[in-house]
Amino acid sequence: MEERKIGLVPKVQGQSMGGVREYGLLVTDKRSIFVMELKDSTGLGYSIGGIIGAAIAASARTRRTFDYDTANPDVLGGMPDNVVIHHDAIESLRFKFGALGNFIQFKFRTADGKTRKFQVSLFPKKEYFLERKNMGKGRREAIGEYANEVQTLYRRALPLATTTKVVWSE
Amino acid sequence: MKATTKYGLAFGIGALMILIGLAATVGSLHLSPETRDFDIDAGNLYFNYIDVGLFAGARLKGSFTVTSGGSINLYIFENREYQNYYNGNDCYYIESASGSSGTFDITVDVGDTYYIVLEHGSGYESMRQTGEVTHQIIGTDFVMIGLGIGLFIGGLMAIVYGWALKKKNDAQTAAFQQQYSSGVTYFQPPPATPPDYQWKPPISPPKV
Repeated sequence: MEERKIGLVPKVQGQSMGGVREYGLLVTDKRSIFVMELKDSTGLGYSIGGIIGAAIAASARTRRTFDYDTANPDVLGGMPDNVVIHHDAIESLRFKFGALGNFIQFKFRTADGKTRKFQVSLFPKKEYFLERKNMGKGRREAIGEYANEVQTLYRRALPLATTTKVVWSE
Repeated sequence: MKATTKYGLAFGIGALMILIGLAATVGSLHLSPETRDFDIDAGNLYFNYIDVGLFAGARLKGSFTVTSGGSINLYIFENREYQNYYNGNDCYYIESASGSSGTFDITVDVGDTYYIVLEHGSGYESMRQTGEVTHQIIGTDFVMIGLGIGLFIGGLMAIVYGWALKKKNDAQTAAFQQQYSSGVTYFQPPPATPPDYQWKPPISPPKV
């Protein structure tokens, strides 16, 4: 049966040794594809080479954009910087919303049978804040709404067998 | 070439040009005197030297002090005369000084490499002599300063150009991304499969 795209989360953030990575999250009925849109090593550059290092790292910052409407999930999933999590390979999934930020923590089996952890924070784009501000909502409220939208998306997208492994945030 | 590569290159080249420009400008100012230790090994044929690059009109002044071994001779040569000195030929110095300490002060008309040569003083050839030489280049090397400032301005322009490219690219990216909501977007569900069409024979009109 053909893979069906369910929804798109425009921005989630991951942190690695190389700096901050910003992903677009494409959720299908079979998997979650974290499509790397921005790789920012400014912080790492600063720690290594001070202001000049940061400037050079900032110049090397790359942003990619994708047409998610037409993009083939297999093509996105095959790109080297992207992270793919098959929903039936999820061992646990936790939505952790709190004062320190809103996170999704995945624990899943990779294709080679190993267990891997992957965590991203749910922090919206500035346009989202602006839209919510126009609705008279505050920043904190906007961040909470964004996280809830993502949780709702997963409630719709995950197969029934996987939902038993999810810890939802209340 | 991709826009991101273009402005990345502009930033990188601009930063490099600014750094080189600053280094060239500051380096050509010769703000502080330079002190170097020297030693002349025992023996008639041994000497030591310091080579100094001077621009046209530069003034070279300094002093020397022998810390062990007695009197020395100091000479300042032009490049070609130094080669003559080195090869044991007749040579002409610009300035000389002798003793266990002394000073020198010259102004050159031609930009070139000049040599401060330190050799044993008369009667001290058989001993190792050590000391230090302090020298300072005084004057403005307009060529280097002009080059440095040119590179600095060129670097700034490259960064401004890169910044403008980045802004343009960011605006295009933002315009592209506006097709999606800033929140979670749901894709259209696929159209429902139409019910199987059953072919039915046409109804013939009633015969009149």
